[in-house]
Amino acid sequence: MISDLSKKTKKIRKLILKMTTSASSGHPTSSLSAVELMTVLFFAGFFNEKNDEVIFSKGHAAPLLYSLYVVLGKIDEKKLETLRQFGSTLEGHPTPRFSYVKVATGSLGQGLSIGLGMALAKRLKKEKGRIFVLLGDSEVSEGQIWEAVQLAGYYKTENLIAILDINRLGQRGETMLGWDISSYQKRFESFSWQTFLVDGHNLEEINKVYQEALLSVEKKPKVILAKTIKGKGVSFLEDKEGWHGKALTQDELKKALEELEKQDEKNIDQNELGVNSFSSQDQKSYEIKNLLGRLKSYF
Amino acid sequence: MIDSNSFLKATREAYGEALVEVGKENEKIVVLDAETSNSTYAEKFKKVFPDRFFEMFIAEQNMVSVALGFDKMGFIPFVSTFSAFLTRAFDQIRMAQYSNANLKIAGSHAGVSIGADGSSQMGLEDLAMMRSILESVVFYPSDYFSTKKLVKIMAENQGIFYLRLTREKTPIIYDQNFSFEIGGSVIHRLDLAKNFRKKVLILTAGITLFEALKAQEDLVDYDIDLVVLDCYSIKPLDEKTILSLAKETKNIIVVEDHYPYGGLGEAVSSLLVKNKISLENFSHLCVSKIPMSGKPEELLVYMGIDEKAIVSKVKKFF
Repeated sequence: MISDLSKKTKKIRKLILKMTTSASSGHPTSSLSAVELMTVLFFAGFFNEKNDEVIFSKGHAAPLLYSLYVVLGKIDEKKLETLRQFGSTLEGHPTPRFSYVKVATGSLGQGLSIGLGMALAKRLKKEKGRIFVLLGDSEVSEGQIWEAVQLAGYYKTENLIAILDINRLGQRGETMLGWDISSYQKRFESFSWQTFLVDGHNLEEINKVYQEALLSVEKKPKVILAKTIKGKGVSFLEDKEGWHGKALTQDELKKALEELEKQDEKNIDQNELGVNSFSSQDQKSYEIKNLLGRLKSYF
Repeated sequence: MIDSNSFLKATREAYGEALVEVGKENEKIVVLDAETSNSTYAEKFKKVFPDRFFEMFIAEQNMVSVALGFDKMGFIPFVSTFSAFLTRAFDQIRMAQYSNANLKIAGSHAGVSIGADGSSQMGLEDLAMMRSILESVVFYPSDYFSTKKLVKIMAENQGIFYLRLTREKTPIIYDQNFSFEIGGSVIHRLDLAKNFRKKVLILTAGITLFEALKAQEDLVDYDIDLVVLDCYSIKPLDEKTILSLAKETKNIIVVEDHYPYGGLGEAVSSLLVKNKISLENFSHLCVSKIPMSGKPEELLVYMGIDEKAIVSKVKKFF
């Protein structure tokens, strides 16, 4: 299962990078940091579309959201070309024009409160299911987040699960807490939340932590505090300032996809790729050709 | 005309009673309040339907977004607090419109007429804020029965609705069978004045309606037909009635317990300009000074939105 999830994360990374470059705007790096967290949620049996809700409070991770629905087979990959274009349902930040979301997000700090409302509504209806809310670390500076955290603790909404993508970086630099995960933990716990810590890029660990959170019998809201890397998967983006809300140029995209390809194929016998029979110069041109072919088939 | 024996009751109290009534008819109605339920009277609902009442404590932004969550799970949420404090949740209301929200918002203690509590507690920008939401409906009832009817309309219609409520008790002037509607208004006109040559139209709503009605009686002796229109539907306005009365009277005074910007006065001005209505006189009486504590009636006088201010403005027209 893990290798299948791993393939999916790579597919999703490529989609995120391609669609934002195609749109010439968007937030690829903020999407990349939460790829594993959302891939495991969606594809390891934790998110049940029938009973559960998911809210991307960090609405700027829309490219990740749309990619998930491509991999789910709900929307056509070709549609990603319309990202951020006039008339497209794939808007810069999600709105219910995209039929798989119920609420518009993008004004940061509101998603957890909406999720809390849904969680209370589910309890009132005596319905099964959970509300998952993906939060960015920078948005937890919003006072409204702590209004929601406090009230969820008060109402003990055990069906509310926040996933905090702690990628350390905001729009212009480091967040107040950076990777100080234990401070986040203390804050949430002081409001009567159950906390779970995880390496946000380790599929096995994430799988385990979702299991723990979902099996927990504690009557408390839950938060998964995930240490992540902004721009994860592409060396020149990883944990780098100055990349927030920037799409890659065509050249940068080529480089990024090349890297991801290499990660894809690292387990495959080198001879199969014929790498050994190429000079390094040849290899580069081979890879670029290969890439362009893939790009064409994508767009 | 206000009957001196009119029974007094605050519109906020009518709100609480109406919630119970609509709550009985529709079990999807839930009520959220930001720790002011004994002031907004949302507590009346809580007493009857404790499971469907949610105390949000003093956290207005969270309250509005939580309400959106209830909406998206099939409930009809009513949220309430002081109108002044709703302004801090404007972003949440603004965002709710992009989620096609079905959201009912009640803001009590609107205007300087709250009196003693002072400026920090007075909602004087709320009409502007709520009118600015593209597809919102904004109500500002003056009495008990109109409030109850408008709450029912809010419960039965989809969309973002705002109900502006008054702290003070006001006379009950409408019959309980009187009909109110989105985009409606009520004309108050004295029969005996209909043949007077001098005519002035007063457009108002809420607490200042009663100031206008008192002025109406004062002016009978001056041969002035003062037509008072209760514009309880601030948005949409009853355009047809307003335009027709404007053409007939040619003299208009808008009176409101709100700042000059974005309230009833600007809504009316915009309507008149769009329809190229030429007038002899137009005046906007509103809160145009920084307020302070005092008795409600003192503040209405200080702001020039009371009976005497209306009478004196009318006299200046002729």
